[in-house]
Parts: sequence; C-alpha cells; structure tokens
Amino acid sequence: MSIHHLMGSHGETVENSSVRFSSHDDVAWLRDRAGVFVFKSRCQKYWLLAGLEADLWDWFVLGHPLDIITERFAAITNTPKESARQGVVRFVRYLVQEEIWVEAS
Amino acid sequence: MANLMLTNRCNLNCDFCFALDIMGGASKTSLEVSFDTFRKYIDYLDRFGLGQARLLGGEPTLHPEFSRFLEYALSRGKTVLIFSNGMIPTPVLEMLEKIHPMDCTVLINLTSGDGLPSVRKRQEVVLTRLGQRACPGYTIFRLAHLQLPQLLDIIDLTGCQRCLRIAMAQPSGSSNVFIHPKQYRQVAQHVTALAAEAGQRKVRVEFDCGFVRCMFSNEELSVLDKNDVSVAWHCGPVWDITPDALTFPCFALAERLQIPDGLDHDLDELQNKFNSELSVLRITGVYPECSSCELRVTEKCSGGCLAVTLKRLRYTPVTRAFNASEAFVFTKG
Repeated sequence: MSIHHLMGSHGETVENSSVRFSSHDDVAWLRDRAGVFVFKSRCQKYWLLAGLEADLWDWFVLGHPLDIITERFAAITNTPKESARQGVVRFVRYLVQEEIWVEAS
Repeated sequence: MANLMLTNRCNLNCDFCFALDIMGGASKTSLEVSFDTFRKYIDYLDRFGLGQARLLGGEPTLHPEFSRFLEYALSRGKTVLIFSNGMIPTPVLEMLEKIHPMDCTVLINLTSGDGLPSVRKRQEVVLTRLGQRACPGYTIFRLAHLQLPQLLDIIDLTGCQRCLRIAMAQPSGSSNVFIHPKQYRQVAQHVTALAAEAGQRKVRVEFDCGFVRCMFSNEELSVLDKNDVSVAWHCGPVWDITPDALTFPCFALAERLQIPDGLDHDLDELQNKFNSELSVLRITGVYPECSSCELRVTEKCSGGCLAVTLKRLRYTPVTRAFNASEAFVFTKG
C-alpha cells in the first residue's frame, strides 16, 4: 500500500510523508480475551491494549487508511470526527512514546 | 536440572519427536558427545549439587561409548535417568540389567515407533528385562485410534514399574506433529478413562508438563484425584545440552533461545537469560482466556506449554506513514 493511498482519502495528494513509523523489531503481539498483549521480549516489557485501544491496534495492523480508522473510531465512540481524530492521535503518540513504534527511515 | 544429549542419532523416525529439527537425518551431521564433554557435564552437575545425570538423544544408548559414560556417571555417585525409545542395543541392555534399580531408571517412551509390531515387541522385551529399572511413558500426539488402556496391559505383561508418564506432544521447531489446544478436551477424556482403569490396576499415572487445568471438567478432575493421578499444570523447562554444548530451555523452545557453550554458564545465568528473553510471555497462555484466568493469575496453572503460547504470537511488522501535519501532532511532546 502506498503512502499516497494511505493518506489521500480526502483527495489531497501527499507526495512525501514527513514521518514513517514501524513497529520495533522486538515487538510481537497476540489477541487475548482481555485485549491485545504487545510484547517487547528483550526488555521484559508488555502492554495490554484493551477495549478501543485493541480495536485501534487491529485496524493499524490490518493496514486500514487513517481516515477510515478515524471514521470507525468516531462511530464506535459516538463522537465528532475531529474528536475521534484526536483519540487516534493520542493512541499513536502513546505507541511512539513507549517505543512500540519507532520512527523509520 | 540439565539433560545431556549424547547423540543426535536415532534408530526410529517418529512424527511427534520434539528433537526432529536437531536430529541427525540423512542430510545432517551426526553429533556425538565426547568423553571429555561428558566428564565436564558430570563436573557441572557436581558444581550445582545435582545428583542425577539425565541422558537423552536421539536414542542415547546408540552412542558407541554409552556403557563407558554410564559407568563413569555411577562411579561419580550420580543416579542416571535415561530417556529411551526402547530400541536399546543388546550389549547396553545387558549392562543396564546389572545396575541396581535405585541407581538407574530408563524412561521408555512407548509412543516411539507408533505401535509398529516389531518395535513394540522389542520395547516389551526391554521392559521385561529391565523390570523395576524401567518406567514406561506415552506421548499423545494424535487422537485417532488412541487406546491408552492398552498400555496397562504392557505394564502387567512386562513387570516394569507400575507407573505411566503421560505427555502431550508440543510444537518443537517446524516439523513435528503435536496436539493443538483445541484438542485438549478430547485428550482429557482419554486420560481420564485411562486414569480410572489405571487406578483399578494399581498403576500410577503421572503428568508431564504442558497440561492445563481447564482441559478437565470438575468430574474428570475428581476421577484423577480418586485414582491418585499425579497431576501437574506447569511448564517447567529443563535445560537441554547438545553434543556440541549448544544449550536451550527444552527442545520445544530451542527455536527461540539458544546459548552456545552452556556448560560454561552456571544455572542461575541460564535461568536469568531465560527470564529476560521469555518469561515476560508467561502473562498469557495457550488460550485467549488464560491471561484473565484466576488459576493463571495465581500461578496455580502455567497456562500450558510456553512453546504453544509462542505459536500464538504475531510478528508481522507494522509500518505506517503520516503527512507533515499529522507527524507534528504525533511527535511533539
């Protein structure tokens, strides 16, 4: 899937994305009844993503476009799209802060 | 505990074998422990106060110096546990017959050879000749035509120890046949039926690692209890050391963690390595319900074999790109 396709659902053309994130090399995950467990085994850490966070994780893993993710999030949380977008942004920022996702070249 | 793999050669080729990837097939190099390495292994046991030498293979009795190893281990005051498929060469069998049953136990896996008449016949001869030195075991690796109570007839027939060690085949590497957690309920029904008959025939059934408590109903558990089955809901990796001293926390986890020259590391070091690499995964188990199960949380059940849990993990890398304004939001602060 191209960057253009990922980001261009409003019709805007995004030729060059300024940042790409990849999951850390050491990251593995699985889906449990309780949510999604994300493991970084070499540093003995794990995170449990429950509820909506687990859904967001799944959608990102499945490669859904950001706008589609935002629309779904808005529908599930029954919030305006801009508010949902902020929720998605907070989630991505959390993954980056925890170094589950790292900036890729 | 630490097991030493004397040789990767085997005279059988079993579908369930957990050492299949490390075994010496036609295309693989044959590996044999040297006497120096064996001596180092016994020294290692001494260093950590371990009284039992645990020898496996392949088929360990095929090692050309097996008798010498056995004599040496006994002379150093060790008891010896041998994991065998029962196809023991006659000269080795003759030597084993002369050893006191308290000093040496041969755990004979009756799954080996998959009931092939010629193999079963030899296993019965070996069990008979070893008598109280031999403890039979069985690894359940498929459910079709599974006739566990027949194993009790073999115990009656041969006069070996009146115990039966039951295991479930676990995934090991990429090629062996194993029991999927979805099949555990059926396994539990077979094992319960076995336990009921074993109790009547005064045979003690013991569980190997990898069983989970929830695979049995409460009624089945009471049958196990009534018949004095030694149940265990744990996953207890024992370090396996190959002939070239490659060391891993059981064959089933060899794909995930291997330490070269294991005999140069003390057991605490190895355990720390295991903890740092793999123990974080203990939070969950073989089923999606394990992480929130009270028995798992209170550590009354390990959640099954760690190698099965590892099979549940996903490693697909996620890569996402964001445009400039989004990136600013994501990365600031």
